[in-house]
Amino acid sequence: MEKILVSSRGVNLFYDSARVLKDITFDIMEKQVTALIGPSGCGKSSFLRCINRMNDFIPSARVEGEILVGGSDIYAGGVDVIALRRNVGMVFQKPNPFPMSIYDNVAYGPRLHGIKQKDRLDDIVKQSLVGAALWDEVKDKLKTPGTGLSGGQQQRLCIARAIATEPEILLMDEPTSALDPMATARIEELVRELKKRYTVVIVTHNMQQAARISDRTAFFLMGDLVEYDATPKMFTSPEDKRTEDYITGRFG
Amino acid sequence: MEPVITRKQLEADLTELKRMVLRLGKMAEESISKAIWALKNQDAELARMVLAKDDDIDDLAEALDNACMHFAARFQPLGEDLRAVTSIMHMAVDLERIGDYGGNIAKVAVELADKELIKPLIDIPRMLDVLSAMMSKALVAFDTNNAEMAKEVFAMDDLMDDLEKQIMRELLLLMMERPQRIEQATQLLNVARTLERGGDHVTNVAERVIYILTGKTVKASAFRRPRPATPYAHKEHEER
Amino acid sequence: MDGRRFADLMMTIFSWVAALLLTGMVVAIIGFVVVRGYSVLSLDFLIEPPRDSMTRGGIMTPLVGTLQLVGTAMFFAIPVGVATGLYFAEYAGDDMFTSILRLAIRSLAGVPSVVFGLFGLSLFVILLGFGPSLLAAALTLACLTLPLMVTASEQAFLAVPKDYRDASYALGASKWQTIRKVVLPAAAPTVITGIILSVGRVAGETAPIMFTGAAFFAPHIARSLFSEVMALPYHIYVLATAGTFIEETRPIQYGTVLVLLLLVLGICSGGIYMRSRLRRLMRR
Repeated sequence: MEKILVSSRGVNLFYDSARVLKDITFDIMEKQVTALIGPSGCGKSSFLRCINRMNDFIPSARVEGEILVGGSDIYAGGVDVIALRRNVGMVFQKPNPFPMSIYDNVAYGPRLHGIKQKDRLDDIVKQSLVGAALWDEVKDKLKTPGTGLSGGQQQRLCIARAIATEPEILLMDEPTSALDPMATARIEELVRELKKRYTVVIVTHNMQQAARISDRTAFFLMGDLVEYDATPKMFTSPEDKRTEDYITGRFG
Repeated sequence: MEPVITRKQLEADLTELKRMVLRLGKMAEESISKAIWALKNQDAELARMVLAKDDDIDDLAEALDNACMHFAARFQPLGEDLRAVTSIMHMAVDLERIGDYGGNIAKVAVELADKELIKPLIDIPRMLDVLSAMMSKALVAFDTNNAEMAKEVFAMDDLMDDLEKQIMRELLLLMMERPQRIEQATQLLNVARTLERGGDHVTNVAERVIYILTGKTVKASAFRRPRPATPYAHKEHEER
Repeated sequence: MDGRRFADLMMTIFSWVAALLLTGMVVAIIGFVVVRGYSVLSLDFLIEPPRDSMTRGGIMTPLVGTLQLVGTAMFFAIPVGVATGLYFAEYAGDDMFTSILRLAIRSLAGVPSVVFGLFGLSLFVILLGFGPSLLAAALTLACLTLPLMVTASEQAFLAVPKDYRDASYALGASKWQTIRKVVLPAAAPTVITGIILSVGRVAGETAPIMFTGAAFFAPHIARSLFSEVMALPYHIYVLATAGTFIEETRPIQYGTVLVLLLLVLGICSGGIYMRSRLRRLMRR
């Protein structure tokens, strides 16, 4: 029933000579929500950015080890990074819709990948907005700027934009840290919905959030993966003392 | 955003919850001890005092339950804190039940206060001694975060079973000898049964203490001597 | 009243006075020009060429000449300036070459305009053999405006939030796709503002064009890139200092100044309006 979709094998990440991830080895299951938690600077976001190779943009960054997505190593030579990123969507900490219309925001990815027919784009835009639980709120103003929406709506627009390329995996880097509680609740609700179709990997500082929405939780500390287990287990009776200390707020 | 858990406030509140548990435990222990004393010494006065205190125990248990809910609402605890607060809620139920048992026994004590006892009570007070020892061990283990000490409670429950069986045999003999004793013997049998159940509740408390401290669910039976199937094995299973 | 509050009060007064003084000066200059030049202003003034040794007629030729100069200068300066700005913002590494290039551009911005004039004279007019012409003058103006354009557009590109780029890359866009579809549109309002400010500056320059292509007098508007052109700033200079009948040309002179002033102000406010519209459209 559970199928491995992403498999990290001995991943080390270096910024120059600093080792920010140390031998990270674990499997992310298909169509589950996996939360990455840990104090600031523990490497959880860096790890997230390894999965769609966003660390490529940091000149000093170097990755060792393998990350298998659907069985093939994304760090092997000759990998099509553009195809990878199309398959691994990402949602960022701050809602960042492009300064263009709602429609164009969602159509951005499909257009990049060569879809030009108006009716196909219309369809993708609608499906993506429906998928991101935003359609009803914006269907009458698709031509208005995406940046005119509220923060929570903007973030859902970014989710719609990310799923418009029909990815398998959605990476979310603290997607609610800039939102108010109501908007946060809607995103969380959406994440639970999204996992029916996508594999979600979410970085969060909010442990209650990780507890609420994730199936599995990985706890990172100073570049190490300390513990990885089913979420209920992690938040009631973790195996490692450091996890216990972190989730009870003794440090971090 | 870093986790905003005000550890200091949380710990202060948690300590208060613990104190309430200890107080509840003490009251329950007192209730059951005094009830047995009243029974043994045919002291109706003391038995009525136990009954009068029953409401206090219920009130404290309810207050503890509320305090746990407030704690959960305020801190949304995770990990050990979460285990502590959920376990304390269970412990409140167990301890309150022991207090109730004190009341039940006190009622018997009132009834028997002006009757001649069919036999001097020896094993029942011994059961009480064991139960008191178990309770104080469980509570000290809880208070001092000592999982090893909590485990010691389990073996003591064997002793309770032995005593209960012994009492039962003895009372059966008495009943066979003279059927007029049946009524009183049944009452005494119930007292022994009640004490034995009290032991089970203390065992639950000890299990909870271990769960809080280690995150592991332990089965008390793993720490007790292996037993052949008895009529009570079935009942015990239900109680867990 | 203690010392600190006194100092506070004095600074407040000082700032107010300074601001009032500046505003007063601007109003005075505009007022002065309007009062002197208002009388000659008419539609005819704009559409007639100068006649009778510039004592009569209008300013059609220099007005059109200025527009031609600015248009041609921008034709060359905008692509080069914006592209260079883009290079600095998006492609340039943190190496020696880039630093030198940056330094060169910064210094260029500090070079007096007359030096550009002389440079244009020797390069475009003489070396490249364009002669004094619209093309040579426009190219000189383009050179003059490049540093401003480069710096303005570089800043504009750098000001585009990293979030946009991240989002674009994460969707599988290449660098050029990201620049073309996200960075350029997002930076456009600021770039346009920079361009328009450059236009304003170019329109008012005299020194760079007087050696390179501005005519003392031309009977009609330039029909080719290699014709000499009349230009408003130079025309004013001529009317004020080199005309044969200085007294008689005085009203025309102030009329011309007024037109130039209105032109520059018009361009600038047009730019500001456009920027605010684009901004609103983008809601940055």
